[in-house]
Amino acid sequence: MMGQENVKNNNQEMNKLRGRQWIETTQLMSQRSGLTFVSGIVRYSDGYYCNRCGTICVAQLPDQTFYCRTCIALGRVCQTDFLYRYEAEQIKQDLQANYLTWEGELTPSQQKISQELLNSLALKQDHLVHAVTGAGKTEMLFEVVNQALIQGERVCLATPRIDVVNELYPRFQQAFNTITIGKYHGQEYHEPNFENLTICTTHQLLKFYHAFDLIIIDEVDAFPFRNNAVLNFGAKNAVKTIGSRFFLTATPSKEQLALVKQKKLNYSLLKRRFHGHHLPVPKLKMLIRPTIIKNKRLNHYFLFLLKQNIAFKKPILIFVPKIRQLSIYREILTKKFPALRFETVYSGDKDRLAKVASFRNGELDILLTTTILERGVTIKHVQVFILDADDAIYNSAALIQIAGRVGRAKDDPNGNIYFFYHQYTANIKAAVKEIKGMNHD
Amino acid sequence: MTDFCLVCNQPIRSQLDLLALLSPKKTDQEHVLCANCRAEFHLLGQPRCPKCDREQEDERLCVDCERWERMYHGNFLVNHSLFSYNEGMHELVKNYKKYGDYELRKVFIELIRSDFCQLQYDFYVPLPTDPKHIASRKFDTISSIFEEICPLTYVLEKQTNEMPQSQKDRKQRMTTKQTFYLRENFTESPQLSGRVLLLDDLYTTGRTAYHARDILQKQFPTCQFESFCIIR
Repeated sequence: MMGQENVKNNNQEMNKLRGRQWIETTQLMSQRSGLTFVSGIVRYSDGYYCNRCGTICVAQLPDQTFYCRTCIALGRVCQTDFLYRYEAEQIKQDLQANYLTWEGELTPSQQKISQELLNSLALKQDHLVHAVTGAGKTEMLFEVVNQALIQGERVCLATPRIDVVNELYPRFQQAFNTITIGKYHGQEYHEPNFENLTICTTHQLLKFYHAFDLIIIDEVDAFPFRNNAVLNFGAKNAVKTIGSRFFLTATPSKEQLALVKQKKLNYSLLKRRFHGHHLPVPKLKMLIRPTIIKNKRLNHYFLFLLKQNIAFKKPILIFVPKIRQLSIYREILTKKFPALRFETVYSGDKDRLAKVASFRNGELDILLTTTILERGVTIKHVQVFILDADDAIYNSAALIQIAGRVGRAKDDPNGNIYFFYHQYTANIKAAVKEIKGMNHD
Repeated sequence: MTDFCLVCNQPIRSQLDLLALLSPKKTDQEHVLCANCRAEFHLLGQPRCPKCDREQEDERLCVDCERWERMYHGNFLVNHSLFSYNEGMHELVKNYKKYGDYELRKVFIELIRSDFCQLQYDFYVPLPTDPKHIASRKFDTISSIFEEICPLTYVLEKQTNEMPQSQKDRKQRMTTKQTFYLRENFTESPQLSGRVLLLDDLYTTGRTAYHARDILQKQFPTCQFESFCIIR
């Protein structure tokens, strides 16, 4: 019940665990070359640290032994447990001369970055790609992933959000349709397998040890990766000692830019979206009265602008900061606009994936959501409203990402993005400045 | 030192309460839950089933209790519960029981402490957990919560079960066979008397609680038994 994986003696079964690490409560009897173990939790001078996620452990079981709360969702690591690791091997069998079945074409600026990534791969160096939302980052990766696979290297594409995994997987499966791609995230459990190309959440990286020659981390700035030492630790452990990590982001952190300056991280900048148009600049709307008035009415100015946008007959995404507000908005808006189809979605929502899919298919007019849809999700012709954009939950990276949902299609590069606020915060200011800066050549 | 919420890991901002500030009694209670996460858990509303505390439309006996009425000829086990089994509670139970996050016992304690302490009984008997589960979790889920808020009397033991309750549907739960038995030192002379409260985490059909009472009532016929399950 604790999700322990038992080592099978069967060689073929065992090969599926190449490059992985897992917990055993007792020491394994079988000796096998390449199979090593460390203690689940290690003691340093300043405390006990989890060997899987690198976090300091403070919680204790009744027998006074420490356990790790941080990565507990992957199975509990206790002080008495063993963390087993099975060495990765270079892939030599069944290599193809080409894996890429994508027939699209890159723009010259995408082409340039694709080439820079190929150079970093050859030199086994880390690389930061700073590209605006909707720049077509995914397409820029195809060639470098192809090259790595041709060389018999193992590649992992990791992103903090399940929705983004679900969005990327079909696109890669289409672009590399001769291979089986591994897809792993918390809501889609299946037995571990060995794949040359894996797409997973950054959490899942903790299950790997020195496994990949190339790890590409998409949306590095997304919560929970940013400032999250755990997943940095995981990404470092999951890549081979000689290997590359590529970071893709629209909003690089100060630390990353500092590494670029020190020449420890290669850097590419892409200011223009793939369709060549500017990023839509957020329209700032200050509200005087509260957004929700006495749980019964909504701010008139917001309703006025919403009505204007409904007339365009385009899908509308409304971001609200708190889950519990979703139902209030839904109730009031349904009364106000009985002809429209509404749905609400939040991170813990069981039907989240289905709801997002039906919004994308045009089966819904308005989707009310918390920040879960801020990244990686492409919905054609969408108009976006952020309510209470001054809430502390929206840092400038999140605001930029949300604004980046708008105008992504070639045939509709414009769109409305509204920030509603009561207080003009530093985050709002920084987000608008960054967007305008990228638009400025 | 700032406390961090055990559920969402965010720092807990203490609610500035004027009354508490002015009152001479200093309440120095530690919090393990932030206000946002606290709001995820819902106290049971009214009306409820008069016997088992199930939240429902009216105050009539619920379907399960009607069955108990027939089966036990009106000898009900009155149950007290505090919280409904909603999304947030499901998540908490999963993290506590499935993943074995022992630290989360403090969340349950914070949630039930004040209401639970108003219930006064002579003895508090925790329902035992499957020994196999205790071995893998390295703690007992029920007594870990209650041992910090009331004196416990360990009377019952449990046989290892072929299938845990959580994997059964309602019908399978109802037909579960008796798996409790008395601890050895309790089979000799009667040591329970007066009003006894059985303690468990979750009340689904009541099957488990009624089984426990059956054993105890046979041994201690003069006692009055009631049950407390945190979640209904």
